[in-house]
Amino acid sequence: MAERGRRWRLWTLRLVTGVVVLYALFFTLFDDESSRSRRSEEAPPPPADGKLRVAELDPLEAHPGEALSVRVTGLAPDEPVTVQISGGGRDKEKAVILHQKGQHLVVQIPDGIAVGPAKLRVAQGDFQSKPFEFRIEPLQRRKLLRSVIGGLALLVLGLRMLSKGLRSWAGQGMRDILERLTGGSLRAVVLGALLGAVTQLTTTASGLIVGLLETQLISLGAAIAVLVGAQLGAAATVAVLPLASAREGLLVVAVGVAWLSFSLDRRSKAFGNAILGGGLLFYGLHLLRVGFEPMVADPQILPYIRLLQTSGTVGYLACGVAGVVLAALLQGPAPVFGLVLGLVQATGVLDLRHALAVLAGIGLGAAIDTTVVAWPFGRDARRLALAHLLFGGLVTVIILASIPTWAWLADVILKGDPGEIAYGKRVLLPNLAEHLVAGFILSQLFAALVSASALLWMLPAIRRVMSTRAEERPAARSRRVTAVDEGVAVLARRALGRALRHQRKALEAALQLCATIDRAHGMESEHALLDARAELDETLKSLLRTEQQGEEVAGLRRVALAVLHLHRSLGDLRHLAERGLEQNLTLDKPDFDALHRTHELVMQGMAELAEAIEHGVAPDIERARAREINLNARESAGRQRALADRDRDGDARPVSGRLRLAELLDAYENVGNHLYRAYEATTVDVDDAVA
Amino acid sequence: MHSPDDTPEALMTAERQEIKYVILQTSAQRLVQEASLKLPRHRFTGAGENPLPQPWHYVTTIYFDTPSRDLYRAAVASESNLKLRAKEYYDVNPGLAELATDPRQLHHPFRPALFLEIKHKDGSRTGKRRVSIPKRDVPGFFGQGAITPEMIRLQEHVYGPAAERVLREVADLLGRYQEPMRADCLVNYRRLVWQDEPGAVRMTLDLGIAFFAPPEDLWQRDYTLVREELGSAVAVERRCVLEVKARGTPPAWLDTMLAQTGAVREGYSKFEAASRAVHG
Repeated sequence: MAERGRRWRLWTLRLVTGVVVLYALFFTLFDDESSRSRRSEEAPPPPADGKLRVAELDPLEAHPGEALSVRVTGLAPDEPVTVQISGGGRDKEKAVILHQKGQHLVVQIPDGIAVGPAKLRVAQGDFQSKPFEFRIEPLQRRKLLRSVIGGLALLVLGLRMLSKGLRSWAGQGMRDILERLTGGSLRAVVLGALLGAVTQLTTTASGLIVGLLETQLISLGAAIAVLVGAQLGAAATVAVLPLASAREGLLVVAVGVAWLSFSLDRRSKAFGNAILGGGLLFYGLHLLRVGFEPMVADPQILPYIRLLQTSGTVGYLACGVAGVVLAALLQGPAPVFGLVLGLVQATGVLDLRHALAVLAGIGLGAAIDTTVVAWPFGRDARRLALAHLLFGGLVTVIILASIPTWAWLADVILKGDPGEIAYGKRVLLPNLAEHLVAGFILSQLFAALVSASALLWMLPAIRRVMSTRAEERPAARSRRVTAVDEGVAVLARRALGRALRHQRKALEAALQLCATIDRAHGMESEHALLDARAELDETLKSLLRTEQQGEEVAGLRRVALAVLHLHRSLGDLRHLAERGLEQNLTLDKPDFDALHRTHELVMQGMAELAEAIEHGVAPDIERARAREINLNARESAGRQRALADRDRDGDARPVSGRLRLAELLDAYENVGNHLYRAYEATTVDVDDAVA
Repeated sequence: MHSPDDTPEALMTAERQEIKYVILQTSAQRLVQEASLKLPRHRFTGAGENPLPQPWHYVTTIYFDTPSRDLYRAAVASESNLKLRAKEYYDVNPGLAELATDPRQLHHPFRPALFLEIKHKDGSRTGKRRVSIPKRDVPGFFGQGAITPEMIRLQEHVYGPAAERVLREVADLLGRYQEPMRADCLVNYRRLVWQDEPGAVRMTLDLGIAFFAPPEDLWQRDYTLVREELGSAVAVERRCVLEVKARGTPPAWLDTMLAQTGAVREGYSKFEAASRAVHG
């Protein structure tokens, strides 16, 4: 009954979540700010008395040196206008008018103006408006730095939670779906495009893809295709989707927390963790942008931006480098595009060609983000990073080399002069924005297609290079070890001992998983198995590569292979334990005790084997054989109990529970078989050579 | 009908040269390889043979002695002596370990009778008599010399009409001692056997030799005396024992093989070693 109530609450929560998502989407598309912007584009009604007045000022809180948009009434055409700003009760200072059209002005606040309450007056001839009050705020770089650091921390935490949640959520079924979705390059690209379109951030897409690659849910080729698609998706939709998802990060966090509170099973909890991680990631990005945007858009930096206006190849290259840096800092095309668009619209410091050159750097910048995210996650993730670097670099180079073409194409396709100024609250160069969007999308699509084709051609070489490098490192280590007279066999014995201890840890966690229905034990088991696998891989490689020969090395190869097979059986057992969680199957105390006794036998066998291998002594094969037979007997008894007639044998346990125990005992028995084979591999029978 | 001394069994145990060597366990594999190149492996192929591939052949030997250990003292003091032992042969199929739910399922077969060997030694020449006795009849035979119809029936296929006479001779031999014979100590080991077709050369290599005190229920058991059922070993022999039995001159390759494997000729007695291990 209680479970039914919880399920009802969960479905209610899901409904609420759907409503919240719809609300967020609506809020994003039709929020107040957008409405204000549209309203502000309409000219204010002229005053009845014809006096000079400041009708509107934006923003009302500004930093020294920042640009202000001023709407005025009563300005006479073709007469010089001056703007004066007084800050902190000090003398008035003349502000530079950056642009003027009709009743609209864009002025720059003097750099050295005092912070505090400020007044802006517009004067024309003998007429002067009344002061319009606003506020000068200092550019709080510490606060911005806090936002950057905190945002980065939340981004990392969000990525981890998202990755962990998705990994937990992804069972075999999810693996199959992803395999199907990424089975062909085109489908993988489409999936990536959707991913990029939804996340709008290449780091988010990279984080997701690296997570999937790390858990081997998708292949390297598919991962590269998805990543290419993600960049295309993010680029193509940049002008369509607003960049508001990060602002709703806290809302998503709230949904994630609520979801977790009502989660009933492992998958549901994992999904809640993924939502929470996504929310934290979005909010972290929001904080990052809050920190970065004022810095990058700070008019104090504008003189440096003007350096980008250098004509010719050098200017384009400088713009491209700036784009790379911005894309790397802002994690994707969307924030950079927004920033560049705002910059060219608000200041006009960049023309269409130079703006496109800045945006050309997005490809390489996003690839750098992928590299940062992927590098700690192993060889496949590094291959992905290298592939993305090549892809991003090619995209950037191709666009930079063809800037005039894209500007020309945009001009051909679209009507209107990109240099035409149309004053509004924010939109100063509306045609330029359209041309920029068209040029950006066309250039990105073309360059991505060409680069992706080139990447497919280079993929085998990437695999080769990375494999060679990866294999050279252990070989070098091995040679160093030999130089200090520490043989491969000794190292292999130690590594095999460690692998067996990791496997014991995994087995212990798997048992706890059966007992407690706590997903954390499943993760612990998985990680321990991954550690064991890493040890085994290295050990087998070193044993197969070594020039040392002889019976000891040959024996250790046999043992390592047997322990690898044991590893696979442990993985099967862990999967079985997890499947029980998904079906919400628990063991009652007698069943758990029966399982625990079997578990102890296997644990004991693994401990003795590890000890014997590490010390180079023959294990007690007779004892191992007796243990193996004992395990068989326990499994057989468990199977008999599972098949027992409920009425006749008086076993009132649910059938599902009985089958569960039988399945687990069978998995343990399978582990026992492989353990026994590992024991056999440690000993060489006198007849073996003859056989 | 064969006379008792013309049977294949008699030929196998007929008087012949018998030399023992000890070798280290580390050399055992090489010896096995070399020996297998020279002689065919011997495997029991009669009724009740083990059909499974690559079984390990084991032997559990029960040595008999009086409570005063007359046989042991005679063996230690003199070259001419008597050894009285019962052997139980069984196979272990390690490959069945992953399927078995009981250790006994690995062993083949259970036989309700023991092979009793009466072995007398004179210098380097030995003589042996083998009779088969149901386990449950062993205490009566050794205590009171009782011969049951079942015992006679078991010997008939070897000795024919002389079966009862052979049993009586054995009973008389045991009766010479003041005290009744009883199980004194047990030895378990794995045995590899090579033998040429005419039976002129036979080699046995005994590995994993372990010594045990007799279990209380030794004659009441209805299962094979396998190593796992004998309790804890009181001692184990770290070396292997090679025994070469040959009628006539041993083959020339034998010396080479023994030299290559570091075999040392030694009058190793499992009975003496076991008795010492059990009684001190």
